[in-house]
Amino acid sequence: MDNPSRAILERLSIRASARPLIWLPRTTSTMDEARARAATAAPGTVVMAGEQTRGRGRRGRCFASPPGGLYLSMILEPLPERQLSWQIGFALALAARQAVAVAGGPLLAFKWPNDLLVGSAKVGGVLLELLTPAGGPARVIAGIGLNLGPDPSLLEDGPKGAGSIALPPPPEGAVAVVAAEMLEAFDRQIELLFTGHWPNLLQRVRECIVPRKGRPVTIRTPQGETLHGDFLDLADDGSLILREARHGQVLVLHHGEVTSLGDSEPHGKVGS
Amino acid sequence: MEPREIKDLLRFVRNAGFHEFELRMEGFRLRVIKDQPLGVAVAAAAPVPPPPVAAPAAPSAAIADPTDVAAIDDGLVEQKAPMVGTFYRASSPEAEPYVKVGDSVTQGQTLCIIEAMKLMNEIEAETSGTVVEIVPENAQPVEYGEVLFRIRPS
Repeated sequence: MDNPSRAILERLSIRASARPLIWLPRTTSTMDEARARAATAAPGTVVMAGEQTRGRGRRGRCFASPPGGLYLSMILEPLPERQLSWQIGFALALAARQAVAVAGGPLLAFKWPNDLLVGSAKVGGVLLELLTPAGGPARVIAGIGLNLGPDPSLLEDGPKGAGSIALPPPPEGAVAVVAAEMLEAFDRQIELLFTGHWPNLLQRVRECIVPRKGRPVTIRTPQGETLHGDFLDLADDGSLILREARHGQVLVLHHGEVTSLGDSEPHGKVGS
Repeated sequence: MEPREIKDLLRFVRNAGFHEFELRMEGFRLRVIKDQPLGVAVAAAAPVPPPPVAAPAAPSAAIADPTDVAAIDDGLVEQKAPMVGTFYRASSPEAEPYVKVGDSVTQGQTLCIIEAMKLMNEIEAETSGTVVEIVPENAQPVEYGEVLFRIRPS
């Protein structure tokens, strides 16, 4: 894939274009690359790759990353309010949703806590790493992968349930357009987040989350247990509120992941 | 108790001077811990008897400070959780644990991961020594300040 750095920087505002942008045609994982540079890189540094050979998902899982997708990690400024660390993932997901829409793609739905969907197909994911070196400032590395190229589920040993984001041609320009829009949008979301406007961001997340309130959902806990119930809402901090089906109890979860959306319908226009 | 009522309670606790708040009603228990100035932690929203699946929840990704390491009477150093989340002993289910009891560790060495809402925080040893005890089970939820490791300083 051609280096899209110049096209991205040309699209960014002067402020946003001041950030260093590192382009790697092929690497193991932009998260690994960003992490290796975290101690010395300027805050705001972006690492992008044309292809990842060991794209990282949660807990050692692989995020299929064929050429044509958008694979990007950012080394963020030292956190002014470190309690808001995990909300950064929501901000990045919202920025990606906005960027894809601006680029002429579908409205992505958000699956708690970090997946992006078209219909029921996973087309992207967010991953955060918090680095807390002894004696140094805490930093977050925020990474995202978006399937802008071929559908990874069609690859040999590709992930089930994945899909790709259809964008208007030319496809070779899609990564630059989406990346630039996303970086601009993310800057705005982060500014909102750290100026006391988290409730506004949370409301936007609620508007694009699947399943809808009151719809069935299945959650797998870190302990390997499965919870079935109804999704009630997101709590004020972004935790998921579930009415568990078996005992009717209301649980507030910040662990686990949504594994099934039941028969819920996604929000907004999906598909292109 | 309805979600809206829980939210109202959280707002009440946030605005009140409490550090910790617990409400027990018939068939219901709610525990809230405020562990940082800007954070309110929902520790559990579960009926009595306890639910089959632990569901502690707490929003503050508070970061370690020097008090996260405490020397105790027998000379061991306790390394505590700097944030709430899920405790993992390895980087993935297939990987070897970062450390085992009896291992020597050096300051800065990764001991474990704590995860909350896909935020992964690798916890580094604050002191060099020998791991004497690993307190939580793998994949167990941990609270802010909970002891993770006991280490005999070298």
